[in-house]
Amino acid sequence: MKKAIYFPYKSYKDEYYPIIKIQVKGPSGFLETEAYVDSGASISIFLMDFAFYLGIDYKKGKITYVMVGDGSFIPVYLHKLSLKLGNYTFFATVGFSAHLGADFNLLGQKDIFDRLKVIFDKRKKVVIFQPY
Amino acid sequence: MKSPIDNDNFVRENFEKLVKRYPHQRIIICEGEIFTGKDAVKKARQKYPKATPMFLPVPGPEEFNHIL
Repeated sequence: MKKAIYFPYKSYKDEYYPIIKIQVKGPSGFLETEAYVDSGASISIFLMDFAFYLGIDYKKGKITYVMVGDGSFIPVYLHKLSLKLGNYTFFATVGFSAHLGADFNLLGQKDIFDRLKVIFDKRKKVVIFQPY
Repeated sequence: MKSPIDNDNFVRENFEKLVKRYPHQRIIICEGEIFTGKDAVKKARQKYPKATPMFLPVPGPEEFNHIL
């Protein structure tokens, strides 16, 4: 069994959030970023600007529409990219959107939660990813 | 030999300063240095070819209060 990957919650203004570091591979190599682990999100959605810095023309991806918190739909362009969590590297679907409406990336379920068991240990302030 | 500076540790230690200085901006961090602008990743990779740069979307000071 592969080793579990531990990420401490990120603190801000005396609160703690399951924000982790993740690397995504583009044409020029890996680029690291942070993502909010969101078990309520069906897919991962990253900021359009991240695609730019990664060197990807995000609009070349397959378009889909995702419902957000206010009930509206936003366009999301899907790409299959190599991700690295700790020392664990795998391909996953990553969506990019110009309409995310927040200054953080979302790490959702598709290709992540079916590959890794995700444990939110709020008491210990740690998110654990255990490869199946 | 100088040891590499972990991007994640740098962000954790300086997060509140970054929020004050670069609210709602996208910045690139590499070896404890901040790069901005459209060619930020290119500049970071040229200066630190062995390091992995980090893209950080800096939130505004109010953001976590309202969204999460």
